[in-house]
Amino acid sequence: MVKIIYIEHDGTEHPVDVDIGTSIMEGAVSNSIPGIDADCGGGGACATCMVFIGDEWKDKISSMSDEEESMIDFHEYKEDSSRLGCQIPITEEFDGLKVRMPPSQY
Amino acid sequence: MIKEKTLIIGGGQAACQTATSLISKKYDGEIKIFCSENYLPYQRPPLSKKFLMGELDKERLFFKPEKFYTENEISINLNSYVQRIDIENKEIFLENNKKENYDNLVIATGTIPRKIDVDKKISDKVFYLRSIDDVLNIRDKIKESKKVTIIGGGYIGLEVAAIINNLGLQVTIVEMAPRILERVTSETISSFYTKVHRQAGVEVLTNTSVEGLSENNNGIEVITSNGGIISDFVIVGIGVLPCDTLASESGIEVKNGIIVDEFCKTSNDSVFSAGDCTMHPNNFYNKNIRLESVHNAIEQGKTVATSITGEKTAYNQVPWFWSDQYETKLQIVGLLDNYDDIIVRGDTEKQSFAVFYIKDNAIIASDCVNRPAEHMMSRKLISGKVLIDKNRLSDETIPIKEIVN
Repeated sequence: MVKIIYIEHDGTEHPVDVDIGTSIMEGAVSNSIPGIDADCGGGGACATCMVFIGDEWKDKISSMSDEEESMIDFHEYKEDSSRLGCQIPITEEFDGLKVRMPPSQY
Repeated sequence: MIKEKTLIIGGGQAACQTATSLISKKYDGEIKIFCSENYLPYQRPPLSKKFLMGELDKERLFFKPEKFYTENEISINLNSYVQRIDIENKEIFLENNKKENYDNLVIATGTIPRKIDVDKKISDKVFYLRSIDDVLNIRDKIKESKKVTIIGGGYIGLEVAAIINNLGLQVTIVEMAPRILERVTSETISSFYTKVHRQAGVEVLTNTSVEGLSENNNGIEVITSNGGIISDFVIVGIGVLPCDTLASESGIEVKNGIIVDEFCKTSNDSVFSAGDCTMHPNNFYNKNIRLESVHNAIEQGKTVATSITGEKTAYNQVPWFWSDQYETKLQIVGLLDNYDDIIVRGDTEKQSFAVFYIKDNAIIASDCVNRPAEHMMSRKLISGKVLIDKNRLSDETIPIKEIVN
């Protein structure tokens, strides 16, 4: 387990424990964090689990595939720090990770 | 004061979404869910994909952990079969004559696989794929087998064929129609996937109807119009039927599914329905349709919640789907409804292309293989009913984002 802090668009913080080996998306869904929909359940098919991850975590996070980049490119609220939560598996290194969420996934 | 009470029948995507949406809308009534299976509500798409492959634990299929239900005071009843609904007295009847009254009832019973007639003696070698238990049984069978025959060349059959082929078994697909996926897609996509499967070593037999199954010393024989096929076991994926009997027997209108309006209300004012079991109006295609899709289950679940809380937001969606086979991700948006032209963008040989279905110079649907950008763009163009220039659409020197001037 590591502690992940999910931050809603309005600034509300949700610190929760997430299992290593699951994804950033699964950590949010299983803890009912508002702001991540994850319609396809992690299939990388829907782009409804987009989150923003600060630069300071960049080195620790797996790089983005072309597919993920294309999906994010069409997201209404994309930013430079956008990632799909389902594509990032949680490792021990992520303890204390802060992820921000967009105002909406659509 | 007595709280309002909402009962939900079903343990799938639509049932869970209805409950989740009610909670997020701060619904102050009582919620009870009745699932026929012995698992917390779970996702089905991975069943024919990662879960069959053995890459996911079953707990990761659950939408929510048990604590979600307890914390939100949702009563979740597993292994719970609803026997009958009394719409006059607003009651449902469970086993052992237990009954439960409701103010709102949500029927989210989904579908069951269409079955074939099989002699009891060999029924332990014939499998369907709909539930966690089905997959666990198939996984056990795979371990002791070398050959499998899959009856039905639809998406389930093809996804299962890809996984079992990856696991090292010899796979034969038997399809009655002249091509696989005939009911749901174009010749272009059918021939693409036929080729992908054949290249992977799967035998794909079309125009081949099944006449019977029998057992001999070498295994189980599928007798077809083109001869016998012997394998260790058989998986049948020939479509599904809506679970609408509970509704029809109670007097609720059904016709290939439970008939609902755009608010997911059935013919009875206190009964709603969501997901694969509904026959519902689609504004975009201007007709009533029944969909087997996660997206529809989610959106109808949300709609039901708004109907119950009184917000009443009408369902208005362009359907979308996806399928994973080998290294290909197919993303589908829209329905192939009387299109008058097809535009292919990209290269089928490179397994990276999009097929756009055009009607009156607008895209009405697309099948995108390893082309997420084209898929996302299609969604925008379809829902916006944007007119397109077909020459630009097929011209790969123009980025898809700039396809509309």
